[in-house]
Amino acid sequence: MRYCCPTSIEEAVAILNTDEDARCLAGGATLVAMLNAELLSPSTLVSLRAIADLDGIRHTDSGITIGAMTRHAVVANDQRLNNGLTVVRLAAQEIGHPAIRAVGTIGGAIAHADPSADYPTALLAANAEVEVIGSSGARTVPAGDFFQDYFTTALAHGEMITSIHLANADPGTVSSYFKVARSDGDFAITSMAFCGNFDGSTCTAARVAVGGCASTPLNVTAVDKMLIGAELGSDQVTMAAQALADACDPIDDVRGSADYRRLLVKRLLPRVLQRAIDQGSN
Amino acid sequence: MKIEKQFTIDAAQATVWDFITNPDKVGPCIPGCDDVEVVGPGKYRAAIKVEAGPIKTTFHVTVTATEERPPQFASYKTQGDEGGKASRVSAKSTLEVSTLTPDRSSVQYTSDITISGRLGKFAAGVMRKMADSMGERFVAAIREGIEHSRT
Repeated sequence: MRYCCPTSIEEAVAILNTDEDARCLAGGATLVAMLNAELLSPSTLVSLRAIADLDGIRHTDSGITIGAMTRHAVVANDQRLNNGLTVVRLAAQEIGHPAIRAVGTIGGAIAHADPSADYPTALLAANAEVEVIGSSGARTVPAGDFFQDYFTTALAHGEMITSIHLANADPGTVSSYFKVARSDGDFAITSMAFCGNFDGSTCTAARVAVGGCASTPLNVTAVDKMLIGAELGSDQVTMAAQALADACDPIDDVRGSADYRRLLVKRLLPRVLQRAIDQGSN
Repeated sequence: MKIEKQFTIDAAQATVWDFITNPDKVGPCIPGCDDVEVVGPGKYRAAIKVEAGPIKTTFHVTVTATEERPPQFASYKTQGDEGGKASRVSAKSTLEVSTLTPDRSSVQYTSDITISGRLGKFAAGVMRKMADSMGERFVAAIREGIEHSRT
């Protein structure tokens, strides 16, 4: 296995385009574990750690841009991620343990596209855009299009993630994240992320994403619409939760049965809404 | 991992049986399978490409018919490995074709699959969904194959 450590994005893209079996090595939290388990054996590892342009969080007029190599711990502690973007910070805080958050990166996490991981669900609710670059240039992929199947993204051969862009939310937007796992630090049995607005306890805008219940994180437009005008605790929320559970296609595994995951979806929706309201009033 | 599929095809039992037990016809219907080689009576060898997210591999399998009762029942034993790599796959499968009407048949397929080695470490629940998805593509291809051969 060849190991490269390019110092620029252009150099990294050039290597990825000359070797079909090359893989980017970001923090290594997942990739190195998969190498150890002999699940992957790429011909070339392209380490991204020496590319300074990929690291850090930048505040711009249009929103916040998180570099692909930004560690989970940095995102988890960045207080600029607030209101409608709090969901991303909360998701980062839920990833693994401090040691994992110190090495793992947002780019690596979403490139792995595990539907039970924390970031994909949060980024979908926040309507994030994934900025990728390849030999034919840069392009932007909405989170809803980026995650395509289990462990499969919209990245084409030779492309890599450069950053994640979060547009400024409308004033008054609140967000929240709720995860149910077997133990602290584990992948989600089911997780839910919410971004939206409330007038008192009545929802006026909603974008809900569910994790761990399909081949990708799931956003159902019809459910978002059902929530508009719904008051917390009303039958309308219960009906939206049922519709969301019906749209899921969960797996049965050691973490929980498919039926249990659907039940969690129904239970989590009112809780994630309540958390968002609480966050707004704080 | 147990897989069970039942589907109907608008064709007579004998037509379905002939198609589904003919390696030259059924081989191309298996997702990732380019070629089936007949190595003896009721014994076939095939290479099947499997993609599970970032993991791409090829299983070299040998399928042996353990019982055949034309035109309604067959059982098979499958054994294979990944070549130089450490995963092994074994499966016991049954196939049942029954008549619903003279030109409509029901096919029931069961398979008990064991994957050991490196791929056995991969998310079992996800593997099952992937196997289900392969099964659905297999059924769609068989249906198309039988209808195509009729026209």
